[in-house]
Amino acid sequence: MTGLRAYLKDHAGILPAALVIGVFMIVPILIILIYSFLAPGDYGGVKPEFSTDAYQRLLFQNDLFDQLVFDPAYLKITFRSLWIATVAVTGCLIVGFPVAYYIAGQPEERRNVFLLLITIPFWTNLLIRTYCWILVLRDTGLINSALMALGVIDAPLTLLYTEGAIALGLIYTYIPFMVLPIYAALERLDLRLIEAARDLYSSRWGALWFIVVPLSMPGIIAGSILVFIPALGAFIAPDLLGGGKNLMLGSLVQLQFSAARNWPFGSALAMVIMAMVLLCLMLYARNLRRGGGGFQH
Amino acid sequence: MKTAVSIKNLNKIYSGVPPVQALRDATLDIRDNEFFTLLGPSGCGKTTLLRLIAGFEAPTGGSLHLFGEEISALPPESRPVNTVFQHYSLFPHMSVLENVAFGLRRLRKSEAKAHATAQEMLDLVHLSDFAARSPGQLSGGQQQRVALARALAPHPRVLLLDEPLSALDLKLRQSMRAELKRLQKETGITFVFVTHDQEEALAMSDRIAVMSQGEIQQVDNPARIYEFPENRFVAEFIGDANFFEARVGANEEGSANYHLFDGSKLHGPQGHAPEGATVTIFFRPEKARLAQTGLAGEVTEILYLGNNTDYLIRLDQGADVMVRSENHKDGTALAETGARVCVEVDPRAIRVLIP
Amino acid sequence: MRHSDRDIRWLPGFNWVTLFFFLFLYLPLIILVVFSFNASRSATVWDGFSLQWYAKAFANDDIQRATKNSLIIAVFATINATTLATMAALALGRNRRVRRKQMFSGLIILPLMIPEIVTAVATLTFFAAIGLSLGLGNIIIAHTVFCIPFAYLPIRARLQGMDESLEAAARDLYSGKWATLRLVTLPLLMPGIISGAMLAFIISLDDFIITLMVAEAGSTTLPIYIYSLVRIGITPEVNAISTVLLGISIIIVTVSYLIGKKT
Repeated sequence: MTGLRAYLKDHAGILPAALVIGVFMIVPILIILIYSFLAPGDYGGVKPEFSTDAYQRLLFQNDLFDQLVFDPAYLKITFRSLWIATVAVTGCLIVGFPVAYYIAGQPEERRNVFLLLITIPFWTNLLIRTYCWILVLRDTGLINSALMALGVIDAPLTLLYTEGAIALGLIYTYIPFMVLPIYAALERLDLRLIEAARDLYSSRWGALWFIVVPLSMPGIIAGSILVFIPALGAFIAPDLLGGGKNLMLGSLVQLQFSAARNWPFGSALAMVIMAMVLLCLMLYARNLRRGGGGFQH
Repeated sequence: MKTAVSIKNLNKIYSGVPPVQALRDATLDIRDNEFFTLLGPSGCGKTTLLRLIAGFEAPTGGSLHLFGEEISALPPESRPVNTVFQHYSLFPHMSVLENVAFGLRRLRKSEAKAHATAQEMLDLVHLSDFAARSPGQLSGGQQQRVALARALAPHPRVLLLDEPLSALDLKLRQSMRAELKRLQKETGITFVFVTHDQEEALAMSDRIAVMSQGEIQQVDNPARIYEFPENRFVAEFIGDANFFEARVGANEEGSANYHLFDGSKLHGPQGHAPEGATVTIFFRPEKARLAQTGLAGEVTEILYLGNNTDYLIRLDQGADVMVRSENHKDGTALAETGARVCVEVDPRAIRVLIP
Repeated sequence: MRHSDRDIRWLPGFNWVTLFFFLFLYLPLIILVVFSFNASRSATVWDGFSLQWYAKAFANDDIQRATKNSLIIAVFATINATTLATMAALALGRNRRVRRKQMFSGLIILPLMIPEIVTAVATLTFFAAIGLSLGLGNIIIAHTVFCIPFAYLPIRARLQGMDESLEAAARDLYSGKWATLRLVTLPLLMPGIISGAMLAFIISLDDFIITLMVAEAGSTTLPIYIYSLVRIGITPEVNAISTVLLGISIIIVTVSYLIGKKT
C-alpha cells in the first residue's frame, strides 16, 4: 500500500496528463478496434454480434446471389491514399529541403524572421486556406484566367477536382512539418564538416550529397513521417479540392460514421489507417535505434 | 583547530548499467578557515564530493559532518553552505542585485537588511555600479564576481567553488586567483575549491587533496604535495618527473645507492625499503642539471619555455630523462640538439616511492 | 566579391526555391485578404474597395454564435492542456523518481501520431458508448486531449534548454522545492508555457474534423460554420471573418516572438 502511495506521490505530475490521454484516446481507439469486429446497427452504432464482415468488405462484396466476389473498389481507394500521401511527402521534401537549407544558412536574426513567416499561415484556418486554392485552381480561377488572358490556352484546363489538386493542397498544408525538422537538424550541423569536405575535394553539390544530406537524415525522416501520417488520413483537402469523387481513406471513414451509418466498416477502415501509421512509426523507431545519422548523442 | 567539514568513508555510486562509483571511501577533514582544494583530472570524483557537501546529491554510504553536525540527510537549502557554480548559474530573469540578495531573502532577512548586505557584497567584488544590470549584460569575469558575491552574501560557513575560473581567459584567471585569496582572508570563511589546474591549486591553497578515480590520493600542503608525493599518480599529476625502476643498494648513514636497471647508479636518501628491494624513484626535472659527470647521454630535443628550457636526453643505457634549466645569463642555450651531455642529480632531490 | 563566392555553404538556386516557397505559402492568404475588401461577391474580379463584408460578418448571428463557441472551447482546452502539459514536462524533466519516462513521453505525444480522422471517430464512438453528452463539454474534452502534445513540446524544449544548475543554485541559496519552482523554474519556463498555450489555443480554434464528428446540435464552431458555407458557395463574409482571425493570429504570434526574443 505504501508502495502505491509513494508511486502516486512521485508520479503526481505525469499521471493526470497520462490518464487523460489514456482514457480519452487509447480507450476510444481500443473501442473502435472492438467495433470493427461487430455487426452494424440499424441507425448507426453496432449490434453486439461478432462479425468479420467489415474487414471482408475491404476486399469483397456480396453480389446479387449473395456470393462473395472480389471487389477492388476500396483497395483502389487505399492505394490512391498511399499514392497521394507519397506524392505529398515527395513534393514537401523537394521544396522543403532547399528552403530549410537556405534558412539555416542565414544570420540568426533573419533565420528567426523566416521561421516566423513559415508559422504564420499555419495559424490561419485550414478550411479557409484550402478554400483559397479553389479560387486559384477553378475553371474561372486565377491560373486559368491568367493563362487565357496571355493566350497560352483557349479553353480552361481542368485543375480543380483532380488528384493533383489534392496533392497540392496537402503539400500546402503540411510543408511546415517538413521544413521545421530539417531546419532543426541543419541548424545543429557543424559547418566545419562542409569545410572539411570542400577541403577534401568535394564540389558544392558533393558536400551537400555526402555530408549535409546524411547528417540531416533524422530531420528528413521525421519530416516525412510528420507529413505522411496526416496526409494519409486527410479529410479537408480531398473533400474540397477532390470534389468528393477522388475519395481518400479519411473521407471514406468520415462517410461511414455519418451518412452511411456503418460504424463497424468505418472502424475497420480506421484500423487500416492505424496499421499503416504503426508501420511508419516502427520503421522510424528502427531507424532511430540504428543511429539514423550523426546527431544522436 | 576546529574542523569545518568532516567526511568519513563517503561513497557515491551512480546507478546505471554498469553502475559508476564516483567516490570510494573518501575520508577527509577540512579545517575551519582554510583554503582547501580538491585537485584531480576530470572524472576523479572531486565535483561529486563537492555536490555531496552542497547537498545536490545524496551519498550511498558514509558520513558527512559540518561543524560536528551530520548533514547528509539535509536538503541543500537547509545547509549553511553556498556554491559558486562552474558556469556561474546567475538567474537570468533577475538583476545583479536581486541575484545577490536572493539567498538573504530566502533566509527571511528584512528587505532593508538584504538590500544592504547585497550592496556590501557587490562593493567587496568591486561591482557596485552594476547592481541594476541584468547578468546577461556582464562580461565573463564580472559574472564570475557576481556569482561569488551571491554565494558569499548569506555568509555561509563553508563556500564551495566548482572550477570557478575555468571559463575565464588566462590573464583574468590569474587576477581572480589573488582576488579569491583576498576574499577568503577578509571573510574568514572556509573555502573548498575544486580544480583540475595544478598551478592554480599550488598557488592558492592552504591544503590540497589530490583525487583520482574516486579516491583521495594524498592530503597535504602545496609544498609537501609537490616535494613529497606519496604515490606515482600524485607525482605525475603535479609537475613533471623522471621515473626509474631501481634496486635498493647498500645503505650508508641515512643514504643509499639506487641501481637503475639499465646499469647506472644514483645516490639518494634512504627510503623505507630494505636493501635489495625494487622501488620506483624519481626526481623533478629542475632538480637535475647538465654537468660533466653523472648519467651520460645525448640531447634529443630542446623545448624553449622562456624562463626555462627543457632538455630531453636519451641516456646511453636507453632511458629518457628531462632536465629543466635556466638559460645562460646572456640568453644562449646550455646545449644543442645532438650534443653529448651528462645529467647530474642532487642526491637530496631523489624521492623513493614505495610500490 | 559576391556573397555566393565567399560562402562555402551557398548552393545556387536554393534562394529561388525559397522565394517560390514563400509565394506559394502566402498567395492564398493574399487572395483571401484582398477579396475580403471587394465591393462585389466575386472572388476573382476586383470591383472596388468596400468594408461591407466586414459589417455583414459582424452582424451575422450565426457567425457570432459560432465564434463564441469556438472561443469558449479554445480557452478551456488551452487552460486544461497547458496545465497538464506543464506538470508533465516538469515531472519528466526534473523529477528523478519518475520511472518509465520514455513510455510516458511517448504517451504524451501520442495524439500527434494518430491521424485526426481516427481520433475523431474513436472519440465519437467513445462518447456514444458511455453516453456522455455535455454539449460544449464533449468538445472541450476532445480538444484538451489533442492540444496536450502541442502545449507540451515547446514547454519541454524550453525546460531542456534550461541549465539545471540554476535550480541547484536556488536550492543552495535556501529555497525549498516549491519556492524554487515559484521563483526560478516557472519564471524561466514562462516563454515556453506561453508559446505552448498559444499553440494549443490556435490548434483548438482551427480544428475541424474532430469537432465535426464530436459536436452535438447547437455546438457549431467557426470552422464547422465555414465548412457549411464552403459547400453551398462561400461569400466574402467568410473572407472578412478569416482576415480578422488572421490579423489576430499575426498579432499574437509576433508579440510572443518579440517576448521570446527579449528573454
